[in-house]
Amino acid sequence: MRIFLVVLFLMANAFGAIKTEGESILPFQRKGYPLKELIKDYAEALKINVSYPEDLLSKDQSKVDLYIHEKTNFSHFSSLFKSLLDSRGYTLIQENGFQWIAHARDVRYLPSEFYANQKFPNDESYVTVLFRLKYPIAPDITRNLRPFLSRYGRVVNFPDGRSIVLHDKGDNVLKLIEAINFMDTEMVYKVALDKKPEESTPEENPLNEKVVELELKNKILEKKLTEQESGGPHEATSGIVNRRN
Amino acid sequence: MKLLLALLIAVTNVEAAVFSINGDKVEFQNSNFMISDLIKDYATTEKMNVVFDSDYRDGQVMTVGPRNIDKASFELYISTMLSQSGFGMRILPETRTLSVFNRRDVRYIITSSYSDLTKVPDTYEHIQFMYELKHIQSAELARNLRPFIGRYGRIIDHTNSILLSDTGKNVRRVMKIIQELDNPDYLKSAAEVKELNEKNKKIFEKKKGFIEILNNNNVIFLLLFSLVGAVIGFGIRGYAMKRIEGGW
Repeated sequence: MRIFLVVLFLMANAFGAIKTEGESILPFQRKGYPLKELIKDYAEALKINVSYPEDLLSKDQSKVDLYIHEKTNFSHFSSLFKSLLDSRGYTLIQENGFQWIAHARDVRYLPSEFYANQKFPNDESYVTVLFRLKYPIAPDITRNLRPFLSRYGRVVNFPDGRSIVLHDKGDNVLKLIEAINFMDTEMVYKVALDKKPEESTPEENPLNEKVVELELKNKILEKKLTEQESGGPHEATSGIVNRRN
Repeated sequence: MKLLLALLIAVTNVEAAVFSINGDKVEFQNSNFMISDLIKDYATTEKMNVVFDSDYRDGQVMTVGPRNIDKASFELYISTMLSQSGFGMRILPETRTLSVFNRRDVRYIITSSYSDLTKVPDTYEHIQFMYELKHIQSAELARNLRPFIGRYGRIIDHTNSILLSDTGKNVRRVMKIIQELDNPDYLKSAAEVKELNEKNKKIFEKKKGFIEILNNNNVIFLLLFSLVGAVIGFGIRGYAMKRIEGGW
């Protein structure tokens, strides 16, 4: 009986809280990890206060399958946790001394951290970023950026033609800025200078050409990623090369 | 027996406090508690009265982890939890009363007003903020900033001033955007864009054809039609007179 109890205790311990060593999470795997339990274990492992209204998750019975194969540092585990929450429609908001969980759809009403020229987090947390263009083509660029925004992302341009405010997830803002830098060129500006409103057709607009190019790039990357996830990264790469050729 | 009953009543009457203060830390006793209990305990600690709106709907909060936060962040914590449940709070200094209200009614409530950004509370407390712009026109700025205003927030422009009504945290964020934009470079760039637009407008106007102008201006079309009609009419009349009378 005693042995049976010890085994039971060990089993319960094995499925219990996340184990840490210094500033890292030790490898573990858990199938059907209830979200509420994961939040609790995350908060205890990282020694962070996490709050949420009870009715936010009261009906949420979702479970997660987690396989951590290598020792993961806290910041990487935190990014992983944020993306898990994001995939279930929640977002983690960082405050001074605690974090709290809210519906991602309400993020437009919430004040996210503002960054002008600083480095912002490259994860699923929402940020507000002010970006200045080299050329006054902000209306064209914001129009073409909209398809790349995430579900609750926003982009607003100002009448000076150079200022763009982006409100989106940190990792997506990085991608957007990359796209902006790609479009913010002298050639595009010159075209905008000589643009005749009634003659500009979507086919002739060089910005749209760039957008199509970016979309294609994005699709190729996404395909590569999904193929890599499903195994055989070498085959996947060669497939893309062949298609390109 | 009487003694036992009294003891039992006393025990059941003592409510467990939501938190306790230990030095500069606030420690929560349990991981879940009612927001109203949190507010009541906070008011007791701060020696304040509490008033809840008649339509106040209580909610439960879960706090997991070490369950202790700095005393300095405690007000932010309370305002966050209230705000998440759709409520706000304000402190009436004269009567030392903490009033909890429904956030959708915030426009009917007199909130604290600020004009110095450093004094704006970095919490979810609803406040009003006035700012005088140095370079940009307030109307164009207010229009573009609307997407960044909270659910029950307002932004009003008046000549060269901006009036914001929102949570302290969001006012701080919006003000950061305004302060970044409100500089001479913005004006320079805006003038450049205006020039570009004017140039494009001229090209657009030059390209308009005669028929298109007629189509867009009915009055000109009617006048031209009448003139052509009159010329044709006079011509026919002249020809007819010549034929009948043999002369003009």
